[in-house]
Amino acid sequence: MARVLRLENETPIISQQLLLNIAEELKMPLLRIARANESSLFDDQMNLQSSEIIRTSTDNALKLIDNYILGIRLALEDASFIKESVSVSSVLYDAALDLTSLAKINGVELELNIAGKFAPVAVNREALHAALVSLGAALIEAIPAHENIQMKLQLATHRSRYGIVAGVYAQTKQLSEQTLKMGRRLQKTSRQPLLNLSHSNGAGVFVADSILNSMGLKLTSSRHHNLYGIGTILEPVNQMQLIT
Amino acid sequence: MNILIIEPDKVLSNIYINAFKNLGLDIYIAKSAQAALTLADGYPPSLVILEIQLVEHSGIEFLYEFRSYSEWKEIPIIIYSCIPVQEFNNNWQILKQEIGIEDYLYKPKTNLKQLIKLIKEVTSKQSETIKY
Repeated sequence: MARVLRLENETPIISQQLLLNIAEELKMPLLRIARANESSLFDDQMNLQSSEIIRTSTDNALKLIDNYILGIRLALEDASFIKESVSVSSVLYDAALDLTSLAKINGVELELNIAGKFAPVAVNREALHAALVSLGAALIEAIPAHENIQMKLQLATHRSRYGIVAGVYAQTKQLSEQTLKMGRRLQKTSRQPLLNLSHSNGAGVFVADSILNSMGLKLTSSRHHNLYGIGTILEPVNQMQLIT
Repeated sequence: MNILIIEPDKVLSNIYINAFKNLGLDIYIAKSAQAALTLADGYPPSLVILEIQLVEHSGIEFLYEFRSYSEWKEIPIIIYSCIPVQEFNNNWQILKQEIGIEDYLYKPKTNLKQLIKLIKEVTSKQSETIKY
């Protein structure tokens, strides 16, 4: 049975289920590292490819752990995570840079669509970046397991009537509100809570969810042109435009 | 001789292709249960290596579907999965008897060398059967 540690005011702090998901999710990069290392011994030509897999998988595993910790620190209301004036486009740009190697080894083309001028938002930059990287990494690993969809992932931002949306988009209809809802519900009981989206337990999606929740934001589904995606809605702060 | 590997992880499947290329076998990789059935139809496998955790249809669904075709009833299947067999509890024995599984290998505890050894054993048994 999953238990949740709580502060006196009953705010959930550490979900054992999320910790369990992360432990399970870390099997994959570790397996890749172990098998790539073994495979390089079979064949000299594999050395370069294997070292790329090992480096990227290690980085990805470390990021997942770091992002999980960040979610916990945010939930503990760590005062160092103050809101600041942030350009969503620049956060998406940095997230894309962080995800490039992972996309490459998974055969996924990563696109950045940050065209347009948007007002800054008041958010903690590090936390938003961590949530987008976590989400992006989970989807980069999920997309190649699907048949008949383009191996493309787009980090994009656009204006909606609720605010500025920052999200990760692909061609699959499985990036929907229903998938998210079902995933959150099944997270406590299933090995594959995002069954139609990911072959793993999609810990990265839930880590992003916990980071955004801790900042009072929501992970939600959204559409970008003809693509489906998940992301978050940020409130623009027009006064800040003067100081950025 | 064709081997059908059902593996949703792109990086791992590339590693398998490289590791198995000198075995003298034709390797076919499917990332989903549906794709695996289509591949098996086009390139009848002598051995199937299966990850249980797949997108949409699970490996267990694949097993029942695969075995429902008479021509695939005797094809050896090795489960090579991230899920430890203990999670199946008693259901594993039922599954093993009903479906007929050659072996269940837990990925973190089975390296490529051990997997290759088992593939060689199973495929050499297959070749002997074909000779007789």
